[in-house]
Formats: sequence, structure tokens, C-alpha cells
Amino acid sequence: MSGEELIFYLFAAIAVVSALATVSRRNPVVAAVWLVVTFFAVAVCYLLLSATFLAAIQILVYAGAMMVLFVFVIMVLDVDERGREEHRRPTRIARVGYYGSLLLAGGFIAWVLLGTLARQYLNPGADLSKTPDFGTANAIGREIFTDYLFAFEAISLLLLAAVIGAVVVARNRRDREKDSLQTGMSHAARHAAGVAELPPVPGDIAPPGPTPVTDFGAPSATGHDGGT
Amino acid sequence: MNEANLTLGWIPLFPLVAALVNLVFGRWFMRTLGDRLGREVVHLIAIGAVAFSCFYTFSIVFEAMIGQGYERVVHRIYPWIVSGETMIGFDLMIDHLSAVMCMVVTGVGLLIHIFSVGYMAKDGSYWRYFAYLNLFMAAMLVLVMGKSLVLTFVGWEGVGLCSYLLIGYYYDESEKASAGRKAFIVNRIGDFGVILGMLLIYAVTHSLDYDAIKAACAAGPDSALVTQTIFGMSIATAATMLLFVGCTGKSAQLPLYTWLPDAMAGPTPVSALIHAATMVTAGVYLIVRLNPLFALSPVTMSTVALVGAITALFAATIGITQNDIKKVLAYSTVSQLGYMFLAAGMGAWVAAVFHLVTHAFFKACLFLGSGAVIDACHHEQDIRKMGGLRKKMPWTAGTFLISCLAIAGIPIFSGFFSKDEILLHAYTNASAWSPGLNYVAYGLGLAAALCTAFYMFRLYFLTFEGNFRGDHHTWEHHVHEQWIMSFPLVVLAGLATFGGFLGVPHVLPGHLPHVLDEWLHPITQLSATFSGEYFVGVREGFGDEHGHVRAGVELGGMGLSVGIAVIGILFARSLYARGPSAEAASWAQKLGGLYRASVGKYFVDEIYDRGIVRPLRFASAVTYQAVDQGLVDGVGVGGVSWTVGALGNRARIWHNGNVRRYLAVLLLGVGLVLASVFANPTVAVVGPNPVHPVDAGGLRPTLGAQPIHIEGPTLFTDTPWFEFDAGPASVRRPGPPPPPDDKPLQPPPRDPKPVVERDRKGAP
Amino acid sequence: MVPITHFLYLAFALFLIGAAGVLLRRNVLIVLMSVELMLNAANIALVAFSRQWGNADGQVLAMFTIAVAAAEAAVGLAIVVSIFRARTGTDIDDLSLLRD
Repeated sequence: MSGEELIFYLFAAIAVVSALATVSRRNPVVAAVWLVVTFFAVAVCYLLLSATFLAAIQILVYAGAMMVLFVFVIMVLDVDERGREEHRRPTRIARVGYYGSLLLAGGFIAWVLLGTLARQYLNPGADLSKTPDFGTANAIGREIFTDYLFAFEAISLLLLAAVIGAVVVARNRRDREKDSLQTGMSHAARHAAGVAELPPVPGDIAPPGPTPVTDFGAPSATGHDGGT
Repeated sequence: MNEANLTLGWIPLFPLVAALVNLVFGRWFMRTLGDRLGREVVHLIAIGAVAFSCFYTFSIVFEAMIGQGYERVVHRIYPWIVSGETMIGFDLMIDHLSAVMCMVVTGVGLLIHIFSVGYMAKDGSYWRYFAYLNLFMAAMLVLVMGKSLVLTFVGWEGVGLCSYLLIGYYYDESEKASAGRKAFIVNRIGDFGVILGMLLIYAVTHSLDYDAIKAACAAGPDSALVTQTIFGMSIATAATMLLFVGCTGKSAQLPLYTWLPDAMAGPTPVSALIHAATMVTAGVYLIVRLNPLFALSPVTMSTVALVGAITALFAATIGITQNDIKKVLAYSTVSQLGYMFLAAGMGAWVAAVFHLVTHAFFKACLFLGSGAVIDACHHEQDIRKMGGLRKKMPWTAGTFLISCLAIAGIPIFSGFFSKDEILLHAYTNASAWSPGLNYVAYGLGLAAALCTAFYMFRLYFLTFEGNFRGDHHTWEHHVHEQWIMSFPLVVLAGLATFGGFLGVPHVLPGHLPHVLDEWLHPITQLSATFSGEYFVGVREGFGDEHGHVRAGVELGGMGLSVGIAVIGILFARSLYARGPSAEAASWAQKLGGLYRASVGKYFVDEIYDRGIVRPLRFASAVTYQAVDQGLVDGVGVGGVSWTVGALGNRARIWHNGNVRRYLAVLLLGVGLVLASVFANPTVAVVGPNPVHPVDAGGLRPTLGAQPIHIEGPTLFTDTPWFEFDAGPASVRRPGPPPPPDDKPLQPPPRDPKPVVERDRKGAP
Repeated sequence: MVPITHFLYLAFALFLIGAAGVLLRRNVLIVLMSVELMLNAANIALVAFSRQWGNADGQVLAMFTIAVAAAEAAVGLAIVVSIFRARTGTDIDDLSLLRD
């Protein structure tokens, strides 16, 4: 067993084990740490596949930025992971059958897809020669900015949209409601709501019109409960 | 054939466009421009369109056909139905017959449009009226200009629709609305016959073009139309019988005439245009158009003649006792149409068309005159409450009198020439298949002529002579004439007077040419060549050496019919010259049962009601209760909804909002699909690639942007839409070189061998 | 030399583990992490094929996948935050508004 093989099997085992740990840990922080381990192991696999640039990206983006995001969110939320008792537990056989068939289906999908791909695109034993700069930032950059320029631009736009969307979605509801209320309120109403400092001036008459409604329906202090 | 190509499409298109404009914008015109100006705009659009059609038709007929001698003008607008070998074009044609019809339709139509301006002046939905009227003109023009039976049928249905719309024009009165429905339904019965007839003809000729039908008939008795049979009769007989069923519906012959008297529910100008002058003559047109085909079926010919003759007398006797001015005219129309069918059935095609034309003139004039009277009398239609109107409406009375003289068959007036020609040919034309038909038809025709003269003058005397029998207020303040209504009357009366000179009999001094006979010669010449049983023309012993009827017979017939007409007129005068007299009542008393039957219209409507409508209603009610309510609604719709509801209740538990559950089901589904694919032995999905090394050349080298080759012309060129020079290609793309044959999208070719082996293994 | 199929087996295993996590765990955060695992598995397959062909296209696609995953994580976490504020919990089974 050569050194390369040794490294692969070692890190493959690490990846699988840490992935299992990721999905099985109860505490999300612990799970996140195990996920980082998986990412590192995967990055090593990339290196073995001569994808050096991608390995760097994997560590920078995944293990660095995204995991920080995860952990940060977990901290912010202060998640209390004491899962409630599941109500309405089905019988053991039903559960085993259900999850077993799910795993079977998932495995089947992965098997068939990978198998099809392998059959279509692989000739075992053959390994096409690679150019000296294969997988380097140079080669990848050349690809991205020639053949994939349009896709690259589209992805950048997607990221921008994701950032804005994340900000919009995650903003505090109360702030947003307050803002949207204020824009539609007369001075007197703002004063009455406690958001305007000055008493109403005599000439300031509330404009006629319907009660302002936010984009999330009527404002409520207890949150939006979906209109059940 | 000597034919010209001209854009005939304009002729029906202009009324059609005007109809659409008025339908869409009419209400808007009336609202925004005010009542007065809005009406101006609406009727100027409508009249302008018809006037254009009229002008265009006349210019084509006189310039191209008469002036330059073209035998016909055709215009293929587009290939309409193309299916396999069948090609039915949207072809319009003006030949000698269409020319006559088009001129009558557009000319009389134009006059009636003008009359309508006065008659409908106070109507609320003015625009709707003119839109329907224009739509009718378009459909009627398609009917007469269609170059194939299919296109004629399009127009045939179109005029039926417009007739329905216009009869039910005052749809807020349920009686009038149901009159419209009645007309439509009765017409549908006939139209069904037309469709079947068309199919039969198509089965033999493989085309419905009139040229093709004519060509198929050219072989005479040897034609496939005669030699092939269906149910023991020749195709020609079966098809023409079916077509004639359609004609009885459209042209109000026995037994399907009942809708026409009810159709008087529509506005009076509509009755003049549709139910007197144009639409109801479509059946006659169809028979004359297909005259070689009809001539090949002596059975149908005799049937047509007999039905026509019976209808003529039957309707005329009803007309004697009616008191509604429009009903009298309606039965008169049925009767006159009977004359036309009598002529067509006897093979006197020209006489049929001649009477069609003259009838269009004088009957339109009569209807419009009655319209003027009705308008003047506060929409009173009962002639017993009229009388003496001549003093206040001299123009109307004069034109009405002229038309009455024409329809009664007094010499010089047009009706004399046409009706005399019909009666003459009824007597002298050959009917080899049914000997004796001549005498029956002639007798019935003469009797109908007597009745016609009597009831028309009864109508005239009761309406215009004597003293006014309505209320004083109407007489003083309301009875008057309007120039816009009198003008068309005068024109039509002029035509009714002089229209007869289109076909002066040869026997009269001066030997004027029979213009219409010569004009229609190309239409009728084919059927004139048939002989033997199929012979159409003057029978042996009655013709002279020039092919004309012998002078003695002709003059005798003329004298007889004139004498009968004069008797009828004088008798009417003696009874009704000063209003309804005691003498007339005593005659009614004397005739007793006959009189009551005539007043009751021979109770045909009641018989139909008892015999057909009520059983049908009963059957409908039964099927409604049992089939519709029980089976369709109960078992069908209710059962389906119940089943779906029950299934939904079962399936509801799956839709529990649990996202993971949804995902799981999705996964299972994908697994199932893949498994089914995998289970197919011919798709080897997994396993080592058996023999054949991957053909790198067939693979698409990149998934990125690259020129994609599309067969055929494309919007874009083959070159990529941006150029970016990034050094030599070997550096850019270190993978395998692109395939030399430049087919980047093809999958790698697969070796069929392993599949075969696998099959062989799995077979035992 | 490691055969390329072994990389695919690794991808297979990671994908299965990720799918199981998505399906079995109720904590939204861990579900998101499992999704990341699945995406990583796909990336491994892409890069392995890329190596097999000596063609960098697969790596470029893997890079795009990473970018999309980043976007997905950002939006997903924002939604988690928003849900957490509204519902005070990260149990995915509580989010069953689709039912009604």
C-alpha cells in the first residue's frame, strides 16, 4: 500500500466517521465541529485528486466561512437541544421498515447514479494524463473566465441575492413592523404609538385612508402564527 | 373556361367588417356621440359597407363579365381545408348565376338597409340591428358566391344564424324569442339533410367543388352518381332528396314551412330582406346551382315539383283568411317559393331564377310597404284596424298596389312574366318519370294564382281603401310617410314594374330577347343535354322548330292566368273595397269548415305540437329525470365526487405538513422510478463497462458554453456570442480533442453485443 | 494509485449519511448540515470524474456547487433565525404550516 493509498483510506475513514458523528450528535455545536472535520477530510481527498485549488476553496469557504456562520447562528439562537418526546410513536417494526426502505431507496439512488456515471464515463484502470498545471488556480481561473464566464456571473448574482435575502429574512420583525408602521402613520398616530417625540402641531391632520398594513399582515406582538 | 381572377373577397368582407365594427363599437358610438350622431355613424357604416359590396358586384358583373366577356370571376382566398387528398379552398366565384343572386342580394339589401334607418329610428339597440343585418349580408354573399358546396353550406348556416338572431331581435318578449328558436330548430332539421347530401356527393365525386360535381354529372346517365346506388336508389336521387330536405327547411316548403310565418316576429325590414327576398330563396339557388345533379334524378325532380305546387296552393289558401298584415305576406312568400320549386322541379331553371328575382323585388316592396304602414299605425299589424291609408300615405299605397299587381300576375308587371313562365313550363315541360304531373302541377298552380290575386287585393283594399278603422288619435297625429322609407319603396316598385323585361316570352310581338335565359345558358346547358328519362325541357308536341313553346299554347296559358288573376282581383274588390263587408262574412259562413281550417292554418302547428314536440318533451323529461338526474348527476358526478372525497379523507393523513415526511416520500418515489428503470434488462446501468473502452471522441468535451449546432435556419449564428482569446487551445482545454466530425451532442455509440448476450442468458 | 471508484464509494457513503441526517434529524440546524454533507459528496464525485478525464470542468462545477451551497446556507440560516424568533424552537416538526 503506497503512501497515497494510505492517506486516502485514512481520510476517507475520517470523513465517514465524522459525517456519522455530525448527523448523530444531539448538540448542534458538537455536530458543527464534526462537520468541520469532515470538510477537512474531504479537502484532503481533493488534494489526492490533484484538485489543489479546490481543496483550498473547500477549507476557506466551507470549513472557514460557512462553519463560522453555523456556529455563530447556533450561539445567537442559544438552541436548547432537549428534543421533546415524540408523540404518537409507531411500532418498532413499522419504524424499522420505514427507515430501512428510506435508506434502501437513498442508497439505490446514489448507487444507480454513481454506477451509471461510472459506466458511462469511466474506463477502470485507465487514467488520462493530466497537464502539469491541472487543478491549479491558474487552470481553474482560465476555465472560469472563458468557458464558464456566464455561469460565473450568474453565480455571483445569486450570491448577492442570497446575502440580501438573508438580511431581509433574518431582520428583527419588531423593527420592521415599526418602520413600516411609521411610514404610513400621521404625526399624531406616531406620537400616540410612542415613536414620535413632539406633540402634534395644529395644522397636521391625519390623512384619511385605511389603517396601514405591513407586508406580514396586521402587526402583532406575539408573532405571526400563520392564520390557523 | 374563360375566367378572370379578381379580388372577390371584398364583397362579403365589407359587410362582415362593418358588422364587427358595429358589434364592438356600436354601443360606444351611441353613448359617446349622443343618440342622433351615434345612429348616424352606425347606419352610415352599415349602409356604406353594403353600398360598397353592391357597387363592387355591379362593377364586376358589368365590367368583367358583360364588358370584357369573362365567363366567370373566381378568387381563391386561401386553401381552407387540406387533409390528405382532400383540398377544399375558400374560393369565391361569380358566374352567371351568382351574378344574378349577388346583384339581387346587394341591391335589395342596400335598399332595405336604407329603409331600416327610418323604420328602426327609435330602436334602443340600433347598432345591434345593423350589425346583424350586415352579418347576414356577409353570410348570404358567401352562400351565393361559394365555389364549393361546403362554402355554400357555411353561408347557409350563417344566414340561418342571422335569421335566428334577427327573428329574436326583440328577445325580451318571450314569444318572439321562441319564434327565433323555432326557426333555428326547424332549419337545423333541414341542414342535417344538407350535410348528409353533401357527404353522399363527396363519397362519389371526392370533391364538393361545383366544377367537380358538374364534371361528375357530365356523363349523364352513365355518371357514377347514377350508376352507384344506396338503399336501392341512385346516389343522385338520395343526395338530391337530402339536399331538398334542407331546401324545404331553408325555403319554407311543406312540411318544414311553419317557422316562416312565426319569423314575422322580427323587425319588418328583416322580414323583407331575409324572409322574403334573399335567404328563403337559398333553396332555389341550391337546386339551380346543382341543376345537372337534380336533372339526373327524375324522382327528386317530380318530388320537388309536387311539393312546390302543393305548398303554393296550401299557403295561398291560408293567406286568404289571415288578418295580420305580415302573416298574409309571409304565407304569400311561402306560396311564391312554392312556385319557384315547382319551376325548378319541372326543370325550368331559368323560370325559377326569374321568379326569384322578380319576387325579390315585389315582395321586398310589399314587406317594406307593410313596414311603413305598421310604423305609421303605432305598430298595429291587424288589417281590420287599418283602412283608408292611401289618403295619408300615397307613395306607400301606390307602390303597394304596383307590387300587388305584379304578384297577382297582371301584364306588364314583372310577376306576370315570371309566373306565367312557371305555369307554362309546368304544363309543357317533360316529366317522363311521372306522367300526369304536368296537369296536377298546372292545376295547383292556377288555383294558387287565383288565391294569390284574391288575398293580395284583400290585403290592399283592407289596408289602403275604405275608411280608417283604427283610433282617431293615431290617424290624426301619427299616420305619415317618411322620405327615407318611401324612397326604397319607389325604387323597388320600379323594379317590380320593369323587372319582367328580363324575360319577355318569345311569343310576344317584337320578339324581345329573353335576357335571363341567355345569361343563364352556361349554367343550364349541361342538364339540357340529358335525354330519355332525364330529359329536361319542353316535351314533345309542345315545342316548335326553334325550341320555343308553341305560340298557341303559350298565348292560351297567358290568357288563362291573366283571366284568373283578374277574377281574383275583382272578387276581392267586391268583398273588401270598403272594408270587411257582410258579404265576406256570409262567404265565410258558407264555407264553414274550410274557412275555419284556413284561419287555423290547417292546424299544422298543433299537429306538430301533438305529434312531435310534446312526445319529444315527454321523452326529454323522462331522460332528464332518469338519465341526467339519476345516472349522470347521481352516479356519475355525485359518485365521482363522493369517491374523491373519501379518497381525500384517507389521503389527508399523509399531508401532515411534516417536511421530512415529504422528503422521504420524494426519495422513495425517485428510488422507485430508478428501480423500475434498473429492472429493465436492456438497460444495463451498473457494472463494469464490458468490452468497449469509452469513446472519448463521442463525448461532449465540456459542459460549458460552446457552439451548439442546430439543424436548419436559426435565429442566431453558429459562432459563440462572445469571443475571448485565452491563449492556445491546448492550454485552455487539456482534455481530449474535440471530435473531428464536429457532432458534440451525440452520446457515445454503444456496442449492442453485451445486451444481446444478456438477453440470451436471461431467455431460458 | 487509488482507483477512482473508491472516491465514488466515499461519495456514496457521505451522500447516504447526509440523506439519513436530513430524514432522521429534527433539528433544523443539523438538517442543514446534512444537506452540506450531501453537497460535499456530490463534489467529491465531480472532482473524481474531473481527475479521471484530466479535464478541469468538473472542478469548476464543484466550485460553483460550493458557491451555491454558501448561498443556500446563508438563506437557510436566515430562515432558521426568523423561524426561531417566531416559533422559539428549531424543531422541524413544528414547522407544519403547510398542512393547513
